Amino acid sequence: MAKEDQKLRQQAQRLASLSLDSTGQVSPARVSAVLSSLAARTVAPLKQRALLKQYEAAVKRELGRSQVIIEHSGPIADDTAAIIAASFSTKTGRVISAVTKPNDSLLAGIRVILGDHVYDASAKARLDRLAAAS
Amino acid sequence: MSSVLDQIKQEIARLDTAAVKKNTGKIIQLADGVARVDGLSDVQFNELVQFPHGIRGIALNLEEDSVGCVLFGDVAKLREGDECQTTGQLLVVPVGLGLLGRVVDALGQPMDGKGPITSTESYPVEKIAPGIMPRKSVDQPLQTGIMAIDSMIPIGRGQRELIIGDRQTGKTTIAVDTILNQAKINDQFVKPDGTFPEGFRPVYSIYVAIGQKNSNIARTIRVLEEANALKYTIIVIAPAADNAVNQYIAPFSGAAIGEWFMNNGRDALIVYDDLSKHAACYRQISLILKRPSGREAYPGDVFYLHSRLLERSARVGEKYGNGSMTALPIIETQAGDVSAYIPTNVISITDGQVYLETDLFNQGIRPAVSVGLSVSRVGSAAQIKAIKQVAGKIKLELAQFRELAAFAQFGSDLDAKTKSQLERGGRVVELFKQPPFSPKPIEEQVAVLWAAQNGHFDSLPTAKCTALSLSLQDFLRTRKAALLTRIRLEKALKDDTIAELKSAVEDWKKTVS
Amino acid sequence: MILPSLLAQAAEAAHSVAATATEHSASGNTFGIEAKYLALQFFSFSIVLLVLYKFALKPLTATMDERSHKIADGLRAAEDMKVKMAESEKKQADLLKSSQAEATAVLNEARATAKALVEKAQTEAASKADEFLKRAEANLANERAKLIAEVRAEATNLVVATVAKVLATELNDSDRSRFNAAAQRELTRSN
Repeated sequence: MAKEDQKLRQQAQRLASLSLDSTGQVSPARVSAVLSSLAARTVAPLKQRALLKQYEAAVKRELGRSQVIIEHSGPIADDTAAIIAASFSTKTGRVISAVTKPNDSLLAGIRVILGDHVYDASAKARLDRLAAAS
Repeated sequence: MSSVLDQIKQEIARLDTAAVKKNTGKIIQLADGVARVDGLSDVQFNELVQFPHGIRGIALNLEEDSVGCVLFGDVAKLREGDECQTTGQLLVVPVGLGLLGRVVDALGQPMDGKGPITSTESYPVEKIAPGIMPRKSVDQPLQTGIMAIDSMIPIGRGQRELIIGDRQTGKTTIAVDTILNQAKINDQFVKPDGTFPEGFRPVYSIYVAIGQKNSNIARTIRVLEEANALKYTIIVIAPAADNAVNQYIAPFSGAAIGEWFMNNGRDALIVYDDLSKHAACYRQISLILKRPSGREAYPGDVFYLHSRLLERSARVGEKYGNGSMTALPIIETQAGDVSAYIPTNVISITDGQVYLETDLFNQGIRPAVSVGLSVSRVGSAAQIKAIKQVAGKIKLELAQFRELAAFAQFGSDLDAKTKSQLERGGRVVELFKQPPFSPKPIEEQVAVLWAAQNGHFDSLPTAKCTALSLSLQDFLRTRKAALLTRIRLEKALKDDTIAELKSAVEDWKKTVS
Repeated sequence: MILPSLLAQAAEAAHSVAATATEHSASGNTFGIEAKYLALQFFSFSIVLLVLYKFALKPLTATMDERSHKIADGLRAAEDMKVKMAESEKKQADLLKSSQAEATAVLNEARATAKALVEKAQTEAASKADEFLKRAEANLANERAKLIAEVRAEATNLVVATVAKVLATELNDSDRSRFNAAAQRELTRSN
């Protein structure tokens, strides 16, 4: 069972690396190409589903490496995303793209998510810190 | 009330406005107290991971694409998809004198309802044992109060002595008797202000209950309380109802608490009751973490589990803390099989064992110590001179007695010397019987053994020797207290002490014959 | 020895009487006493006496001597026993005296021990009472500390909730955008 899981994982990893473009970013066109080729296979549905789930996780991981999600509450300047993306690109040495996402639960401020690293400069985080400190 | 508000105002003023960086992960699988987490790319081995609802875990399995974390406490509130984050810290427990007299759980949280633990320091639960240079050889005695052990299998401060036997053979009783004796000795020397005189080293005890029934733990606590020993004891509990992770961590927490005493010039005694259940919990955790299993389904590093725990008990030199931690691990065997996996592991780690036999227990010899199979690798280096003078030959005599005991049925066909050896051996066996939770002070042991070795019990009936030895102790305690004090302080039997002892024993004999 | 001589004398007297009796009888029988029968009677009487002496008197006197010896012995023994009894009584009295002295000594020791024990118990009880009081005070202090900690936690939660609510409703877009700009600076600086 574990060996099969490992095989699927490795397969999904290979497919995910195929979904990257020349700059190392996840390319939507390539992702759809991979998906259509998978759909064309005649494999048992359960196996197919397992592989697709692993592929999704692998693509998410790749996205996490190359894309920041900028959550904000309230309006942000137009160039915020670009500035932050550039800053992180220099920091990580990779090409990072940015995506913005409004999130009112932050009350005010910005939260940047890069993979599993979270950089929180929102008011909510400060209030949470105050609550945790006591 | 105003102080509360002031504190909150201070917290608000202290609140810093910098961005917070965290490394997060998401639970992808949650079962049996173990969470498999996706993410946590910065996590380190054994790092403390914070989950929602105040639940904490430690990262034990760092795999290619997921992290296996074992969770503490009630995990019913967690769900798949919950977010967790690293803390950058190791699991720590509060340590210090503020824990004396308290009952805490595996994480150092108070369980006795007496309020929060007053402690200014925290020690990490997992710590590397002292190396070679900090160690000092073991030469201070740790008196257990059990005559059979103190005379023939002496334990020193800084030694690891295993207590091994089947179920219901008195293993916990021996450990509790030792704790009671340390408290008794501490009370003899303590000054009214609670401090100890120069030159006296009190022994503080830590009792770690792993996988025990709550009723047993409650009974032990009650025994310690009634004997006024709880004020020198810390109790760390991870009862059978706790999850396996708490039971796995509890001995390490106890060791961390004991290390504080060792590093601060004090002597500690730690009892692990028992390590068989600890190994079983570790097996459960390892199997759930899908680690490969080996003999008897234990993981491959079950030896390392116990060796790193027991190696932390040592005696350290002056520059490194000038203290000691003596360990009394307890192992339960099945049907007397000491060659099973876990017992052989722990026997090879410890500096000796006290082997308790069911047969002896059923025959009425309690404590059921098998003198032939028990050993202390420190030996007489950890005995005071007085005991060495009276008990030097007892082990040999008992061995000879055991050899001859097979011939005891041919009572009429034996020569006088054999008969006398059998009689003497039988009396010595009777003298070593002792009721539970009544440790004998070392000076009384010296007196009783001296009387036995010099034939003062030879004219008395063998069957009554146990009661007679108690009566001798009583006599000495009430009417010859000065003599006992002298033996205790001098720690050796000088000629005038022996003469006084002789007259005292003869006086006592008049009252019993 | 006396008797035989007496008997011999009696026989002589009998003979002489017999002789005179015969003389008298020869002269005439005035009393009806024949002298020769009297003589014979005396003779036979002396034989009887002799026989009695040999076979009855001697053993009789021997037995009587024995009896008187026994009586004398018994009396002597009684005397001895009296002396011995007197001695043993004296010994008993001495023993009683010495054991009484020992008992008194033991009693005194026991009393002293009891006194010491009572004192010890008293000091123990006093110290236990002290301990009890101290523990009760410590418990009170603990309870208070617990309460204060709880109140503080509650108060902080209230503060946080209030602030969150206030910020959610009171902040307008310009405030937010100012905050976001500051946050952006913070994030890019720490990088």
